[in-house]
Amino acid sequence: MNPRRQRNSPFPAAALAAAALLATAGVPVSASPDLIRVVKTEHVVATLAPAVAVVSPGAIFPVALHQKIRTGWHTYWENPGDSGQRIDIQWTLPAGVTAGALRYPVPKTIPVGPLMNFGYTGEAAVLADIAVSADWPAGRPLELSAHATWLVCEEICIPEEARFTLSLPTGPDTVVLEPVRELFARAEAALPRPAPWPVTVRDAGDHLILGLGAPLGPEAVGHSHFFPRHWGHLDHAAPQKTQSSGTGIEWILPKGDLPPAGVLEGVLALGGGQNAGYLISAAVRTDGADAAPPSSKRPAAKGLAEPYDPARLDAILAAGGAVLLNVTADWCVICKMNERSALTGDRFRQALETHGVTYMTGDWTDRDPRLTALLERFGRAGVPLYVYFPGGGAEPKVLPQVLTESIVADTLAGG
Amino acid sequence: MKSSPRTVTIPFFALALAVVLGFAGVAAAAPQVGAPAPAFSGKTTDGGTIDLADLRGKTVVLEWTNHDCPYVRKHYGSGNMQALQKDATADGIVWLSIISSAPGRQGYVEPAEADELTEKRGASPSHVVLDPEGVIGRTYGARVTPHMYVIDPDGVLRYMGGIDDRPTTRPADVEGANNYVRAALADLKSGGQVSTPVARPYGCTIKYGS
Repeated sequence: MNPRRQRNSPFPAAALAAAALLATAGVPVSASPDLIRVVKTEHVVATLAPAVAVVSPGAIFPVALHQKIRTGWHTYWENPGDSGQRIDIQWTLPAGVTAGALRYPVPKTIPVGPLMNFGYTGEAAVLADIAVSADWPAGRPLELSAHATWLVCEEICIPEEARFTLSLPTGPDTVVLEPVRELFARAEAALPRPAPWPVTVRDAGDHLILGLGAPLGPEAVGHSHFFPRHWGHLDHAAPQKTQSSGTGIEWILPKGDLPPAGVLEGVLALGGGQNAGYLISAAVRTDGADAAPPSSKRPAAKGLAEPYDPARLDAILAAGGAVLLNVTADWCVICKMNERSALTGDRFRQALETHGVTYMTGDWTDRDPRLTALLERFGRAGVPLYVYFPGGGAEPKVLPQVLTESIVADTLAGG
Repeated sequence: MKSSPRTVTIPFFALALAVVLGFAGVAAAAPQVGAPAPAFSGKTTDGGTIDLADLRGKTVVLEWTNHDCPYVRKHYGSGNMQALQKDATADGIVWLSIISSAPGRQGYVEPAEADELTEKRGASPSHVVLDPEGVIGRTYGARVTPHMYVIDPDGVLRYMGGIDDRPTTRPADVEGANNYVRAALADLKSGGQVSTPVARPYGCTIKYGS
């Protein structure tokens, strides 16, 4: 089976055709040509574009892979359901540049006979955050290569792929790529957002009960669906019943072949006026067990950290101290990975002590507006964000999204 | 781009219909590892009938297949499936390739064509079982091609899931993959527990009839 293969050609080599393709992604035809790449396969028009026209060293910026999918066909979410394969990207990046995990828009249910798939019809855009090291020489372009793969299905399935390369200018200041501002706004709006309500999951034998402490109307609940992030946790095709609880709504979710051992993760899509998806990540309790206190979900290094407080941050810096700030969220997988691997343990503790650095964490789980403002200040739409404030009037330094013990230790040592 | 609430209503309707028509068996009655494998009998390409009950005393592998599915082609094109079949049957294991595609849908074949495919691909299943009504497929909760099951000599289901841990269509991904079926057969041969008894099955949706 040869996957349908296409290589992108520099736009506007075939200006008319490319303009038509860009229009399918909602991008104005006058778009900056060199940074917006379009590949047309048999069933998908795929567009790869960065959110920025110029990036500064130390910045993190999103790249979107937008798909316009042939009518009647569909592509797949992170968990494709009973069959299928997720949209994926393999990056080839220069040293000093890293790509975060793909962020997928809220999927739809796609029933196929007795089976269930999760994916997209019409169009979809996945996002990846690219982090550029602070010591990247400003002026040297970033050469990014993306090998995107997906399975596109109607009755039958076709594996397709597209290879994109782009050369992104670097400079002292990050500049937004205007023609794709709207595309990114729509892509961000289609992503699941943190659930602003209390969430519980309890084990009830052959099913899990997902409880939301939310005053939701029947329209939102009646058209809802919970999409499990991992295969096996739930029976994908089973109907999901709902019931009222004392404090909100409960979803009764039949278990799959490999139920979750610890945490149920997924996206809860609500209907009605809500018309949105919410990220769910909650420890599975067995009936009768004490409810886990909220603090048990907090970062492992909580004991080392002070909660974020802008006044306290300013005071420490004014006094000549240094601060490492971690903006995190309970539903952020990369955050938790970093907190377990790099922001905990003896080496981290010693580095803080040796260099006299105060460690602060800001919890963006409920979208604290003070932290949203901070994220905006550093050009970020989401977490994780790690910033080292050296103090003494020196410029703050943004760390990569994926941390290692060495990156943190070197940063704290003033490297 | 937006998640339309209207599309979310479709599966509920579809599932309600599915229950009425009796399709829900795929989801509800899926077999369990560690429990007796569901009984079945089916037609083979030589016109005979094979009954799982008659295979007691032997390890049995079930392989759902559809020769036009890109995931099946990955494993036949690379010779991976044939090698597994050859090694298994040489060990006295009974290998049943099962086709549950409905007439007119992708992967459906008449007996002669099924035998030609076996010949042409150098495959060595013990039998190819034709299940155009999807009865065996639904009994086992088979979802994709290839979906794999291993049943021990006592008739107990010991593995169900994908052939390996690389859910792609790239033949190059066969090398270095953890082949769960090969591992399960080795575990059973050495008298031990199957270390990975359940894994995500990946592949094309089985083209069941309605």
